[in-house]
Order: sequence, then C-alpha cells, then structure tokens
Amino acid sequence: MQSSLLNRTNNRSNITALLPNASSFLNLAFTTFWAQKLSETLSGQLSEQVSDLFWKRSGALQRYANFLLCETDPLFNQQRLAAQIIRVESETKEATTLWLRPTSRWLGFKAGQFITIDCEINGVRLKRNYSISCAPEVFEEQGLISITVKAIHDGRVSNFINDSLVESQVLHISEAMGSFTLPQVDTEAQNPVAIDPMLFIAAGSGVTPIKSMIEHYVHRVESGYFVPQSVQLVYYSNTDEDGIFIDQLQALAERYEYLSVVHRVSERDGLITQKALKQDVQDIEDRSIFLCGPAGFMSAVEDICSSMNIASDQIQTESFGSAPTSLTDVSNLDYDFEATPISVDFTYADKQITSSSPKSLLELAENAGLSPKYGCRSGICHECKCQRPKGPLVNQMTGNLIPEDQTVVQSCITAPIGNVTLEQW
Amino acid sequence: MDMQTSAMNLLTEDEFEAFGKELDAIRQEAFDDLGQRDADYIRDIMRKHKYSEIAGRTLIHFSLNPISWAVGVGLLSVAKILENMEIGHNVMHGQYDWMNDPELNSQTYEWDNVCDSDAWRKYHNYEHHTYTNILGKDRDYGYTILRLDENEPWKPVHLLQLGNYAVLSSMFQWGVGLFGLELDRIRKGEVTLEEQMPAIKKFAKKATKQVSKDYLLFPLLAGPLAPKVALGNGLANLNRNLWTSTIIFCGHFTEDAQTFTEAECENESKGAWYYRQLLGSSNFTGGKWLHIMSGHLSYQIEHHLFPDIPAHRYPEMALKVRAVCEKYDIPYNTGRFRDQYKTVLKRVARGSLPNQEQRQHMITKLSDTASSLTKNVPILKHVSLFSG
Repeated sequence: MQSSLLNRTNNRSNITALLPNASSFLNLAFTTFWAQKLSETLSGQLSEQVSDLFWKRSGALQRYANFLLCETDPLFNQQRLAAQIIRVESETKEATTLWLRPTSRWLGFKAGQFITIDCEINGVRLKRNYSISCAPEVFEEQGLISITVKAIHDGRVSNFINDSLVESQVLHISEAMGSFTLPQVDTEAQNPVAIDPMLFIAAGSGVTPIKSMIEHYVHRVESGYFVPQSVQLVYYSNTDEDGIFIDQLQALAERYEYLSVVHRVSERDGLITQKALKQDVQDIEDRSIFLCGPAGFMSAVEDICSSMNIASDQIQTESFGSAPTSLTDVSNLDYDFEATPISVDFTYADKQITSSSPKSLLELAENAGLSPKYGCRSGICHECKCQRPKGPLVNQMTGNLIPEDQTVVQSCITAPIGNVTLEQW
Repeated sequence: MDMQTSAMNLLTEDEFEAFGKELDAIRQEAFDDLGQRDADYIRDIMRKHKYSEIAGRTLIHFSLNPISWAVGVGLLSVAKILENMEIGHNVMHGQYDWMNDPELNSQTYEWDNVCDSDAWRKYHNYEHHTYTNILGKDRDYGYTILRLDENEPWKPVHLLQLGNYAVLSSMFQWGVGLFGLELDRIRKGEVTLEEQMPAIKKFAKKATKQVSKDYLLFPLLAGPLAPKVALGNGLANLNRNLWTSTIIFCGHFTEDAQTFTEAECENESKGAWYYRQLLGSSNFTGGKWLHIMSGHLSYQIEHHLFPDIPAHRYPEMALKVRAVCEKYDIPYNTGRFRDQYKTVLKRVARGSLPNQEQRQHMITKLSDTASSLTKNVPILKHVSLFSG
C-alpha cells in the first residue's frame, strides 16, 4: 500500500519526489555510519575489551549466553576450555595418539609441557595430565595438538582413552603447564643462538614430551634460531614393539646429523646401568640432561648421574606420577594399629599426630587441636566434607576402600588405614 | 508421649538392627549402581531448566500480548521450581558429589533463591535431616511459627495460624532464608546477635543479589517495559514459593506423620534412626512430572532414609523399602497428592486451637484467677459476673 502511494507521488511531481529520496539518503548514511562503527567495535580491540568485561563477570546473562553457545557447539564454551578429537591413531598395541583441535581461546604451549584432560567415565569426571607429543609448530600451522597415552594396568583413564574415545568427541582440557621445556631464547635475536648440547633420557611413554622437544629443536635449527648442536636420545622400552615414536625419531636422526637416537630394549639389553649409559653417550658431563619415564627408571638414572658427579641443576625431570591403586586391593583393610601406629600429617596447619586406633579424619583433626566444620557426625549431612588426603582411606560405614582419585570425602566417616598427609582441609 | 507408648519401642533392639541392615543394603545397592544413567539424568534436567529459564525470560521480555507474557511467566516458574527442587536441593545434599563435577559440588552449589546455601546446608542437611520431627530439636517442624502438633504449648497467636500459613507459603523463599538466621534462638538467648552476624551478612548479600536480578537487572534491560518484566518475575517467584511450600508441607505435616521427643531418641541406633525417618515422613503418588517438579520429595520417606542418593532413584528404591516395611509391619504413609495436602490443611487448622487438656487447663487457670480476684479485690465481691 505505502510503496504504491509513494510511487504515485513520484510520478506526479519531481520536487516532492526528491524529498523522500533525500530523507532515505540521510537515513542510509546514518545507518551506514553506525553499522560501520558497530563492525569496528565488534572486530577491533574495543570488542575484546567489551567481551572480556562481559565474560569476567559471572551472572545470569553469562550463564544463559554460555549455555546457548555450548548447545550450539561445545567448543564455544567461554567458561571452560574444550578440544575436539580430530583423529585417533594407534602407536603401539598399548599406546594411542589423540589429535585434538583446542578451542580458539586456548593459548598454545611450549615443547615439553602437558595439559590436563578431563574424561567422564561412567558419570565420574576424572582428570589426568598428559604431555603434548607434537611440536608447537604443528599447532601454529594446523591448530592441532596431540597427546599419546599408554594404557596402564588397571588405569581407568588411560584404558578409557585407548578403548573408548572416538573422533569428533569433545573433551575439556586445561591450558598447557609445566617447566620441563627447552632453554628459552630471544626470538628477536638477529643471529642464531647456541645452547648446550642436550641428552634426552626416556623410557616408555616418557618419550612423549621429548618427541615434542626434539621436533621443536629441529624446526628451530632449520629456521635459523639455533646453532646446530649435538642432541642425543637414549630411549628404553620393554620390548621392540613397545617403543613409542621410535621409527619417527630414528627417521629424523637419519636426516639431521646433529641428532642421534639409541633405542634400548630392556627385555634384551637389561635395565639402564651406568656402564650402558656411558657406552651410549660419551660426553654425558657436557650435556644438559632431560629425563622422563616411570618413577623407578627415573630414580635409577638420577642415582647413576649423582654417582658420576653430575650436578643436579644440570638435569631437568618430568615425573608422570604412579597409577592410582586398584580398588580391589583390600590387603590393608585389616591394618594393625597397635603394632604400627599411623601418623597423620596436617601440613596445611603445621600439625601432626599419631594414632594407635582406627579414628575418623574428623576425630583425628580435633585431637590434633584443629576445629573443622561438622554436623551430624554420622555420615548423613555432608557438612564435614574435606579434600581427600593422600594415603589409604576406608569408609567406616561400608568398610570399602576410598579410590585415590575421589576428590572429596566425608571426614566423619572416613578413617585412614596408614600414614596420610592433608595438604588442605 | 511417654516411653511406654512411644512409637520408638515398638520394635526390639534386634529387630531394629536387622531392619537397619536391610535398609543399609538397599542404599549400598543403589550407591554401587550409580553411573552414566544418573549423570545423564541430572544433565538432562539441567538443560531443561536452562531452556525453560531462557525461554521464560525471553517471552516475558518480548511478549506482544498477555498470552505470550503468561506463557513466559509459566516457563520461568517451572525453571525456578526445577532449579530449587530437583537440582539445587538434591545437589546440596551431596547426591551428585561422586561425579566429581565442580558444577554439581554439594559444598559450593549456590541455588536460585534468597536463602544462602551455607545456612541451608547447616539447618536443613544437618539439623532437619538428623533430628527429623523431634520436637524442640527439628526447627523445621512448624518453622518455629506454626503449631503443628497438639502436644506443643498453645498461644493465642496460633488462632491466626491459617493466615500465617498462607503468608509463609506465598513468601516461602524469604521464610526459608530468614529461618537460617536463627532469629528465634537469638530471642531465646541461645545464640547472640554477634554470633549470627556472619550469617545475617551472607543472607543480606544473597538476597540483594537475587532481588537485583529479578527486579532491577532484567527490568532495566527492558527499558520502558520494565514494569511488565518485574511483575512477571515476581509472579514466577510467587508460583515457585506456593508450589515448594505445598510440596514440603506434604513431606512431614500430613495427618499420620509422627513426632518424637528428645528422650525417645537418646542413644538411637542406626535402625531406630531409619525407623524415625520413616514414621516422620510421608509420600504422595502421581505422574512422572509431578515427581520431577517436586524434586522427588514426593518420595519424602526415601529421601529421609537415603538423603545422599540421587533422588530420581527413589521410585525404584521405594518398592524395596515398602517390602521391608511390610515385613516389619511398619506403616508406610502415602496417598494421592490432594488427599495428603487436605490432611496438612487439617493439621494446620487443628493446631490453631488448644487441645482438650490445654483447654481444660486454661479454664481451670481462668477460674482460679477469677476467684482470686474476687477474694482480693473487695469491690469485685459484689460483681455477680465473677461470683460463680
């Protein structure tokens, strides 16, 4: 209706026809101006400030917005970091590599660092740290990172990752962490920088951060940041088939003269000894050492180094921690308190007591002179919850052992059956 | 109720122990079976809650006519009820702590009403769930305002209690929030104002946050349409208040729900504790969504026996609990929602009047006063009104 009226006016007089044109032109100019301003705002720094201001608060609007974003795509989550599984590759019979695409907010990593992966297994969220096994350059070029996980006997998460995760699933991850990295160099430097020759010693899945470091080093040398220096890897695996990344690393060593790789198979060559190490590496004393592997392997290497008078600040280590104990291990349920009283260490409050009878964490804390919050003292109300201390614990109501990866316990019905340490309540 | 006729010694000690073991076994069986099904269930409810909250607020905001506005109010009411009942209340009991999910952590969860969660955890999870229906110890029994047991002392103010109940019901979130401040205990001198100050401050902070969300932030976002948004939010709060109060009153204040004295419950065994929870609570029947919207407090009995087992498990656990009750010949209080609620109203009404004994006592006291007045005040000797 309206447009036909306007048309008729246009036909009738040229002067009146100019009026709506002028006003619509003004209108258009005005809209364009603001649209431009708005797009500048949205794309520029201001938009970053505005969105920062919005997401730093935690109110109803943020909750709604984040919920709708997550419903659209879990990777849009603004409150937690997420990553999508792009590819699942089998490395050995027991080790699997996950290629992940982290959300765009993820800040990147240095070679050798690790991330925390959050898996939901049968409704329970479990967190584990895994080293990133690819070079940072892969992330810079393709936006992908990889973690490589070896299935541990009875390890809930490592087996879950090996058996159950598939492409396109989304996991929650953390930013990269850890100081097990190559020496930092000035990237603005005009001339290539020289760093000390390096020796990497790894066993089992301990090779994962080291693969990232070696590949990163090669990239850096090839792009002229580093003066090539001798880099050697001594890698131990149980069997030939168990060696992770060994083919890739040996191929790399064939291409670059400064890199050499020794693969030892403990089934055939025996465990690591000073003699074997000296045979594999002639100039250990002159190298910065990077060590990563199972706890027993690492302490063996550290002993070897100290007996060779290598200063401990020459060695960098990354320990993966031991796998949580199995739930079926009930041997210490009949703990003999009278024979060996247990010691309970409240490190957060600088207090320590010993007990020669089974007592709940709450009672022990009170006996030590602390006064934590409590309610019913009979396992009903959950008022006395505390962070799970390190050490063997039993639920007094059910008589069951408490899993090591449970994060909180009801202190009034949880009793230590062995030495425990409480770093926080 | 003296020890001879007490409900607490209808079973022998051995029977109590065996009964307790059977309920322990029901709990353990459910606990061992917790897994993906429970995680999926609560996440699904949380999604439904968020969708209905966002849709509700959007409709209230952008409604073009009263109908779409009313639908918005309805959706926001549903969202608030789901959050308070099936999510908040149950999460804060620790029902989902085994999931290790920081969003579902009983100790840090903050629910969407004016009651501060820390205060709630203390007086609800601890006091109410431990001392359920023990007169004088369970402050939830009548919320220190209503007289719901005929054995409680009667005061003239109780005559107004049907009115008080209506006010409490429509302002329920404020009742629940203020209740945590233990103002009655301050009045009685059991705690000092200074001791309660931290709780009062936390309540003030939480209430300010809630009020500014519903009556400032969202109305302001609507600009000139602020009044319709504020009114819509207020109505949704009212709906939630009336609904939750009705559900909760059906849990412990039905006609046959029993009360206990402190003496009866001294040195109570686990079996006797279960038994008291059973006799003091009442269920109601209904469809799937009535149960969900009640936060499964329609299974109040199971909730009181197993407060930290995910509530959506109660229907399946109830079958086993009923079988155990039949075995030990223990009454299991359940009925249709409206029938149970009728008995609640009856109880509130009955509580407004003194019982037989109290009436007798008052009449005696009144006539004593009258006769002492006539004796001691000479002029009154001649007033016939007091003579007989």
